Amino acid sequence: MRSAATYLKSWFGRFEAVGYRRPDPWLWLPAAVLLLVGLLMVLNTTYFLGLEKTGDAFHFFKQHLARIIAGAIVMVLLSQFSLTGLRRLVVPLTVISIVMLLMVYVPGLGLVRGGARRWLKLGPMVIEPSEFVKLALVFLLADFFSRRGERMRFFSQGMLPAFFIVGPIALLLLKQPDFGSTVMISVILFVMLYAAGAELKHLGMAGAGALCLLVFQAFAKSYRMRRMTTFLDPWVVARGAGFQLVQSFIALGAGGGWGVGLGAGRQKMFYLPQSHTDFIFAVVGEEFGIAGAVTVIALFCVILFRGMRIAHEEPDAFASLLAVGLTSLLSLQALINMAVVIGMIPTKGLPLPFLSYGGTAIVMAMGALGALLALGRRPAVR
Amino acid sequence: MVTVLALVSVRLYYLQVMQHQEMTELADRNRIRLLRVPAPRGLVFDRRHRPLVDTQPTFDAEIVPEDSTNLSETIERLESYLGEDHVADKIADADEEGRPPYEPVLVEERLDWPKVVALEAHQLDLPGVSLEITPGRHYLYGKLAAHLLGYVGEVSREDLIKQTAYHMGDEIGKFGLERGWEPFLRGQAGGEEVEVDAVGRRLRVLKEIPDTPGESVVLTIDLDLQQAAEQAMEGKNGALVALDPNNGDVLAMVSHPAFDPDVFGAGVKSADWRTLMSDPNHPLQNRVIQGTYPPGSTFKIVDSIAGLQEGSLTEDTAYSCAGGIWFGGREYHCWRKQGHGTIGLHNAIVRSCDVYFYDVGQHLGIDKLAHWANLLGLGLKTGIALDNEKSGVIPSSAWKQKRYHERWYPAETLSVSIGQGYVAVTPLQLAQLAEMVANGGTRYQPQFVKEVESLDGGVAKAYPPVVEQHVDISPETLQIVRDAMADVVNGPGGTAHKAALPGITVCAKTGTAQIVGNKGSLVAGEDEDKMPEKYRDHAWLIAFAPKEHPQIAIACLVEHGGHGGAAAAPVVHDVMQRFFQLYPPAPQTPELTEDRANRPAIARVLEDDTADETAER
Repeated sequence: MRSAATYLKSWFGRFEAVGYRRPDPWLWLPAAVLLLVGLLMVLNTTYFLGLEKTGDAFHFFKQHLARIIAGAIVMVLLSQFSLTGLRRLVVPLTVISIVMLLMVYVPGLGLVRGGARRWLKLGPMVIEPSEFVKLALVFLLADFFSRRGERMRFFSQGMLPAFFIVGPIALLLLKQPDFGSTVMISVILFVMLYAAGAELKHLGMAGAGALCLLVFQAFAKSYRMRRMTTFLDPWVVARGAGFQLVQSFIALGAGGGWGVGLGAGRQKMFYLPQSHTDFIFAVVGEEFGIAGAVTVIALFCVILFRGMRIAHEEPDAFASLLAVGLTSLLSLQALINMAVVIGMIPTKGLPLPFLSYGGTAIVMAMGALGALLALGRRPAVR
Repeated sequence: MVTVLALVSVRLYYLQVMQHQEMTELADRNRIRLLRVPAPRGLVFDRRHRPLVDTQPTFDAEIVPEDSTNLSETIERLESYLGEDHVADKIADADEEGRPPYEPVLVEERLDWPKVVALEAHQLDLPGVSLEITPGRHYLYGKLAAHLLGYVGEVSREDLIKQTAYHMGDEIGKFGLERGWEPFLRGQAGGEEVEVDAVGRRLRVLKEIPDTPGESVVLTIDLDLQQAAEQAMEGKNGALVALDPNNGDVLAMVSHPAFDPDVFGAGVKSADWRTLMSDPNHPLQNRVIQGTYPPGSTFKIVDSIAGLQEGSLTEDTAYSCAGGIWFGGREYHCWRKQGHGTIGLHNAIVRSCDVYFYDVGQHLGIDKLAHWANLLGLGLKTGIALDNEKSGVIPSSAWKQKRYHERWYPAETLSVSIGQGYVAVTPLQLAQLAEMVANGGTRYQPQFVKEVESLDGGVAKAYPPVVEQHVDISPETLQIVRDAMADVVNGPGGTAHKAALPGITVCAKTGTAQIVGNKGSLVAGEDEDKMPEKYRDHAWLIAFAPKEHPQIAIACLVEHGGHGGAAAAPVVHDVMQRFFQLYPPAPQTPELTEDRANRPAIARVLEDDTADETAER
């Protein structure tokens, strides 16, 4: 028994940690504050929803809290990993994520909600594989690009194989459909390609191609097209397609400078759909005003800069690329989410990391943070 | 990255700081919704305070699709009870138009009683279906005075934009009294201010605002008289209007054919609307104020007053009638081919001699004639508070120059003298002519509303008589004209014997508005009875009574009725008879006795031949 534990520990690389430091508080403190804000927000946006749906006002809060605890365990575990240990995660993560993506189509396991086959029901747990895929893909790409090294400069050696990896995954996601996650993995791919040393002109061309695909996809489904266009002037269709965005604006505007106060927001009272998930930032803006909204943005910025600093100082290619991927996974998704809420880009189904209610997303975000913390503990990072 | 963050910050600043006020208000409005309860519209009473229009509950069927557990089944059942099959379409239409969730869809309006009972009884089988009770306009006597009362309908887009106090689906007066007195009749909708969530579910009632019913309007119309008038006009197309010559009150106003104002209540069916619009008899037209017709021989009253006042005509002026005169190379007939011989003013009016008035008109000239016609209210809008009144036409040389860029030909004066040619007047204008002869030259603005009653029963607004104009007409002139008009009804050779009443001296003048033949010339039409109806002439009668102390002045037009004495006189007779049953003639007042009754009787030149009294032209 003891030998088995020792083996596991050595496999994860715990004992390489001779010269390792404590986790970077500039990374986990902002995340902890965001998680706390998220808890408060989830509590007060789901109070009535819980009463209405389950009879328990704290139903959603308890679920959220349980997931944060689960996420915390994952985060602490991952933060103890050595670089070798993290690298050993690449294969299992990739395999599991692809299996899960395919399992969605297994009758009895796949769960269809709102016309999207996006969830997996495993016993009492409901998992959203797309969240898992995003994390796994960061690991996979970091590993793949770091092995390619200098060859990344050549289109056929670097970018093309990357597209062959991401392409099928993106197609699987699109088929669910999960347009938001598809866009998100494309963004991560491009950021990591750039960090791995791909030529800018290749990136530009590929970006243009991806944009064409995106537009094509948008035209393919009328509701996507509506989403694309309504954000430009949601008031025109304030009762229809623009309803959510208009209610989001109303929430933000009602918040003003300092907000209406914690719990005093009204828009969550069934006016603003998805106020506890994708549009939680609007409720933050309503209850804490622009001060609260800017604070949230600042916290994500701290994570962003701290994560990029690790990537910058890390001499190991895998570690550096992994740091870039994980950081973008957290901060870019946050940025996209907030841009949607304030009506700068079309609506997508992307949660706000650390704040939004959502099981897999919160665990995965904390896992990503854990891996980032592990990288930050390495002696190379000063 | 910095750029993106800067953009986000700017956007946040714009949304949260710059739009703060506006959004806060929107957030409040989001939450609070006024569930409106329309106020019952004010009632309409006749002059003796009998209701003509009231407000009764009507039942509309509504469905909230979200409340139905099995929508298709509910729809199927509902359709079977209502006997229609477009419920699903209506829901689809409403959804297409952006119906918010939980907003009911109107399935059918104004359900009849069996359907109300069916829906009530099967309420449990019809989840989501409800009966909405709304106050609906009810016209107690159907088509009675429809053109005057008007109708209500759903507020239009244009009205909604112009008048902020209205909401979608509100009732608004569209026509007639309902439209003109809308601000009084409407009242103020009350309602419940409720807090709702985004999907429209009611969370709690914040406050209740009681509705204020509309104020009632008391008309000058007398229900009995109006009914008598409608009855007398039954089966005829035309118009009748009765005025009180002492103040301009409208006592009765009929335009036939009429429409049923109930048809318009809250959403006229397009089929009904098309039927009304395409009806060749134009039931929507209020002929009393919108129909313009040549006045025919009733215009001879204008000739007489103008001639007498201008001095070109005296009581003793006599002309010779040989059945027609030659003028400008053409013959102008008298309606009586054999002529009236030498005839004086009194008999010319009584027997309606055309040739006599050709001469009168010629001596006056068109412009003096037009001046007097205008003074007597012809060719001018009366100012009655109804929409789309027509002014008609009183031609003059200036008018013709302007209209046709041509000079006036003297021969045209002849046609005008007998109320033909370019002349066109409304029945209301001729009623005013009768009114002015009756009261001695005062033209009142015709009013059909006596007062607006406030909710406590007091008078919120009274409508005192409005004198439009007073024309100085000498007592002698009035006497001559009144005596002649009395003999039109009562004297030998008079053309309106059918209007006579026992014990009351009715004064009248017949007229026939010719519609066939060239304007400006008179083509003999002896074979009238054989003509198809649509080519027959319009029949006029203007009258007032009693002669000594007039209480009522009437103008009646029967379209294609032929001769005024034959078609219009019996109608006026019936109306007058009813009027004096209701309002027995007042005893003569001293000044009237002095003024009118004690004057020596005017010598009449009685002629031995007695014409067919009714066949005048």
